[in-house]
Amino acid sequence: MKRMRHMRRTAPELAGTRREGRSARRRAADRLVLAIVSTMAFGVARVTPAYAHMGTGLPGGFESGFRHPVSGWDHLLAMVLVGIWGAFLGRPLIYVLPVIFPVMMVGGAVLGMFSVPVPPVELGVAMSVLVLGLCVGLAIDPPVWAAGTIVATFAVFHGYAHGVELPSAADPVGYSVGFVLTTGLLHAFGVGIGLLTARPKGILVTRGLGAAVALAGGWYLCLALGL
Amino acid sequence: MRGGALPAALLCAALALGLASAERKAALLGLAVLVVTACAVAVGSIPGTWSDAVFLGCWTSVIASAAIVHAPRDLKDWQALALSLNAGVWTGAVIALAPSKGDLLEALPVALCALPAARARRQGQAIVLKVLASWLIAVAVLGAILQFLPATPGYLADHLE
Amino acid sequence: MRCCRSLLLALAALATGVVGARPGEAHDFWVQPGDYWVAPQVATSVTLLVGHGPLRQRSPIPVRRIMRFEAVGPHGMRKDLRPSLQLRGPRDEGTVAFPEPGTYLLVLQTDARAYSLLPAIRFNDYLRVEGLTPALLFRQRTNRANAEGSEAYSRQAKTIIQVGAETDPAAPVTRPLGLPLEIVPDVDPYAEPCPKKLPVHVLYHGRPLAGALVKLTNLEHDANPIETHVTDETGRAVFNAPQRGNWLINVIWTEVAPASSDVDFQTTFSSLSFGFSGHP
Repeated sequence: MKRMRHMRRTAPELAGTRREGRSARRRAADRLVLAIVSTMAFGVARVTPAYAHMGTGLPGGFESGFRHPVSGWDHLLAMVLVGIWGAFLGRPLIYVLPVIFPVMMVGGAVLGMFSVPVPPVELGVAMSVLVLGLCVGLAIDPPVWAAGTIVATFAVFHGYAHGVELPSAADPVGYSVGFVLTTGLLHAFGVGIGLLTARPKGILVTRGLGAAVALAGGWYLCLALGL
Repeated sequence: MRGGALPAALLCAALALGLASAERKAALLGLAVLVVTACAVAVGSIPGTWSDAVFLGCWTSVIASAAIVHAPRDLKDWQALALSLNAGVWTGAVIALAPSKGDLLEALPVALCALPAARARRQGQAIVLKVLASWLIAVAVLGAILQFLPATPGYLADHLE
Repeated sequence: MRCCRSLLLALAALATGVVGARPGEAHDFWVQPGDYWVAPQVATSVTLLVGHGPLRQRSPIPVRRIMRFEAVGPHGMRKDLRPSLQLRGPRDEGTVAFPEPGTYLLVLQTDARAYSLLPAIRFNDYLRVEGLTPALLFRQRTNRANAEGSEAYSRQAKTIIQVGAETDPAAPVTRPLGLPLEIVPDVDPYAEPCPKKLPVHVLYHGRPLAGALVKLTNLEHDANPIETHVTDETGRAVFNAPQRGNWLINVIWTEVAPASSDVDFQTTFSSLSFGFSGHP
């Protein structure tokens, strides 16, 4: 009798169990789909030497593009700082800034592709490290439009550097995917660091990081100015 | 190289994000339409002189499909099917120009991301889809602009008269 | 959230394939006969080829740009072969036949109305790979190293064909033919006994050209040259003489275009091909 009571379920409980079962099956199906897609996706950008008409530009595809944003500490620090600052400022900037940066970076890349004269790119990149470091270090909380404008302006300089190389790449699409993906992942990494502010003393750690990076930005600026 | 599986795979990824806001049945039907249309177009032959137009169509479709993520309303069934048909046509056309038709088998499975994308949207994680869509739009804009460059791009041989 | 992580991983995996794009150019241009050794009065095909490795293909050059295509043979023989050119035929650009035994040169010269515009990085790399150092230095001196590079270019090609088994000491092989950029061998590569060394002179507008990068490539394995040399102050480079297979020697030279020109440089490509296919 006890066992029967134990086993007896009410109608809502049974319905809930069926829903849980369906939900679990769907989750399993989703994971299986993602596993299959991930496995196959490794081959998507692969090119074999047997292709009859490969590009003849310089070796440049996904791998080169993926490495390009991390080829210099100044690029890398700036993009991580965008994520940190976004996390620091909270919604909506925590996701608006990592969307603005790639989009405006494309604008800069287009300028680079057409060799449009701009102020020296190294100067712009160094300024981005300095300014973004100060914004985090000093916990500057501007209006959304101002934060967006700052990030958008610096994104143009970072994109210009990628755009100059893009036309010479033998696989420019792979190259674009590479540097856009790295940029996004660095932002995500920065957001992860920025979420430290939720922890005790997290704000101090984050601001300390920002200040240290701002010092590095000052050094890059001196280098760019030839001082 | 210009073609191959990557542009087609990016279009399938953009469609996957776009279908995330459609009803599950419409999304599944859309995926079927994508596969059938892409296969039908890919087995045909497309003149090489059309390649610029085909790639422009592909990149425009990536932008349009990815931009759906930002639409305020869910995708209606007929809109999902139209989007899938469009993606199928351009996916197939790009593969028809590729050196190997086997690239289609590498590109099409990426569209299956529509299922977990829909789940993410239902769980309130639409912002992730918007961020991914912005990346795809960025790559598509660059891809589209390449063919308007005055200089010989890297995927073409130089000094070929 | 787990789902989003998976989605992110999948899309990250999407782009993780290795892209093995290799550098390559279409700088080589030559006249390829069906066989380099033929019998008298036997027709052999002629094909205009450009590029090397996986990029080798028939040249798309239009016939209006070919200024000179002739056969130069023993005893001052010259024959204009342009009427027999059928560009972009199904398999070749036409056929040639030689009634008398001897060593012949097929000579092709184009005008300088081909145009190339390359992005900065790629143009600098092309100048570096082809040994066009003066052009690189010029771009650096004039602060144009980050600008696109434009050229108007022309092609010259010579091919040595042996008709009959006996080589002819009076063959025109070792004499210049008046091309703007020309590779002139000092010895006949078909001479008997086979020479061990193959010295060549590079002439630019009839004068020895120093500092030019000259490459020897095996046409059966032409992804990379076998030997490269820079010409000395007398315009001379010395290669090991091949005794089997089909071969291409090529050189490129460029000079700054006049200020009134709409290109930066005027470039000339020149080649000499020979081989032992059909050798009895």
